[in-house]
Amino acid sequence: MATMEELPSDVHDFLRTYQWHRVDPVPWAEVRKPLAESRVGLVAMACMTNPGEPPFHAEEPENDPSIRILTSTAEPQTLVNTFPGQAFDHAGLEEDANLLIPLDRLRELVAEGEIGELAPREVSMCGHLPKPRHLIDEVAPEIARMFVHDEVDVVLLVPA
Amino acid sequence: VGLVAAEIERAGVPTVGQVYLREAAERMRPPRALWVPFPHGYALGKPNDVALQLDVLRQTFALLGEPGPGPVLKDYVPLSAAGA
Repeated sequence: MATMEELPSDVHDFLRTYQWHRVDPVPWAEVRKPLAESRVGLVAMACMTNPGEPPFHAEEPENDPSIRILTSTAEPQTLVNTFPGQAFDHAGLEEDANLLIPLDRLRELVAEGEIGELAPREVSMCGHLPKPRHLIDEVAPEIARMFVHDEVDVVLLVPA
Repeated sequence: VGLVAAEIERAGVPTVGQVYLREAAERMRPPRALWVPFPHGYALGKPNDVALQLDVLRQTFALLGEPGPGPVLKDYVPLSAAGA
């Protein structure tokens, strides 16, 4: 899918009027070491939770800016899909959660020696936040501080 | 993706990620992004297609080799087009 016009009409209408937050200036952190020696963190934006955790409440108007912490050993297929509605087709996610939380694939890249290791803590959140003030002021800095504390070298973000 | 990526980069950690919509990425300007020609919900391509998913990840991480300053926005090159 390459353009907004190809999306479902309700999603297209939302995106057409969405006030995209322009990143300006664009920050640029220098790469410090080869990927094969790097600790990689993951931010997955599909509203997935660990089993037994409270669900995200992404159906609320301002959506849910909270996060869940996943471990690097989490099994994607055991995570719980709490993304409400049909903003995207959930069939792929239900069949293979690696589409949006690719922990199995990342572990394979570690095993192949292409990635040094995975961060001990990964982040799951909802990527659809029409009112992102709390995200900008509190949640995103919290995520950044966590990865810095865990001495993460690279972070992979996977949208839903 | 863009807002969180930007905050992580400001903290000194490089980021990479996929985007579904070029228009959105061009407006938001995440630091390093790979445009993928897949529907929402299918960031890594197809369910249980390990080769494809790994290829998407490898091309995403390859953005780390791009010179700055950002934003860097590259298109995913399908496996078949790459001769794999």
